[in-house]
Amino acid sequence: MLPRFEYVKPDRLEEALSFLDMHSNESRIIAGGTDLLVKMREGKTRPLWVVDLSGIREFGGVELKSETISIGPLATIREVEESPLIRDKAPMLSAALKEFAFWQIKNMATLGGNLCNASPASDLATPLLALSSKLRFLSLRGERIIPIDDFFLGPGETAIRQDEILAEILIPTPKSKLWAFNKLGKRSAHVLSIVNVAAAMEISQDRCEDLHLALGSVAPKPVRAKGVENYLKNAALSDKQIWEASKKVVNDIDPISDLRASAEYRKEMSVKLTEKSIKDAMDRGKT
Amino acid sequence: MKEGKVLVRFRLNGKPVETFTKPNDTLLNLLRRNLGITSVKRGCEVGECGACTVLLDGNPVVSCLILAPTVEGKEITTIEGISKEGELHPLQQAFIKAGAVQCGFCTPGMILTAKALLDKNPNPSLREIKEAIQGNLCRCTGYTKIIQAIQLASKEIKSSCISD
Repeated sequence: MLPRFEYVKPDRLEEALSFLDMHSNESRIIAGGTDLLVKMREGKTRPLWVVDLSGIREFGGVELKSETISIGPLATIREVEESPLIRDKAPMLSAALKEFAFWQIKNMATLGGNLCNASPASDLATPLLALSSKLRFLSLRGERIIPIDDFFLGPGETAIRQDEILAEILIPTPKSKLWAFNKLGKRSAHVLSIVNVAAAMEISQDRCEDLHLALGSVAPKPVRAKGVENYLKNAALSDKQIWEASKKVVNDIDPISDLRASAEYRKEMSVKLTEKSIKDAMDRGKT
Repeated sequence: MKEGKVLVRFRLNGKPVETFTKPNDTLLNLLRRNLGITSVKRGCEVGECGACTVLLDGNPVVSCLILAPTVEGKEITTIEGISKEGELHPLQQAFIKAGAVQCGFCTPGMILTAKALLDKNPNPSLREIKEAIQGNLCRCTGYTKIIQAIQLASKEIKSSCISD
């Protein structure tokens, strides 16, 4: 049995914002419920109110608004993975979500819920970081948009304020077709990442014009590997250069040893997966 | 609204249901305790094992992680809802024929996930079958026969469509 709480389901956005304004400390928002119910069962969170936002229409769906992909926070993992728009414009996100949990959870879990739970091992956060996504929040005080780089603060901790709701995930349509997502787990299915890497790249005349590289499960929060990005900026993309750049990733991460893997193993695999991801992204330009 | 109780109305196996639930009850509890549907198994209760799988608007979900009040207006299907006029669903027949049932604990959830797969993709590859049932654990490890049963049902459904 779950601890006791009361259930509220606002029909309109204004109602939800007013409710959270009054009861922010005692409330938890329920989206897909796949993290919240586990946390409540384990006694890690004990809200007085559980606020169901599924009645708010504008929080669902995936659409293109001029050059920006807009994803509603209540869009499910499955919905986004299978969206023709995402497959066409941001295939890296689609590929990453294919590796996410399993079918039942994908039908329930939402993008907004996954981000707000801020798991360091999220398979969603790394592609969104590599794609320079932004997040839009709403509260009674108004609207706030921040880059996703500023959102994660630590395990379970984010920059969202108590009275705010994550209202929209914004992804600028990627210019480059060069990308990769690689996930290492103990098995190929149904596991949390030991490390995951997302790369988005632009190449001009065999030189790296731009690289966005993000890693998950190797720091208290999903991180951008700025050291690697800067090392490769405008560099010729020889095997040796890529290997030297990949070794820099250890300065951008801070892994721990846990049930899944040791910190040393995570460091080694981060280097290997960084190298592989850069090469995988480059290979997409060859076909 | 009664104090501490929430009225929830949904369709269960095609029939309308109207019942009160506690706000902190799960769909799993509501089905088993209030509505007597014990084919929905209580396994891990943290969304890892898939024994409590039901179809929500045709898609497999784990009922242990769904708050009962949130199924308002939805269509829920359990194993009881997939046979027609007393005749077992082709998947149920295939599970019997292939010997895909050992202890039986995972079977209702496994068949429901397989049904959602075949409804969406009547001719799945081996890989697609394996991917679909990732979240349904069989601790008897009878996966080989389970996969054979799903392949058999896929053939049966196709040939019955042709003869229709």
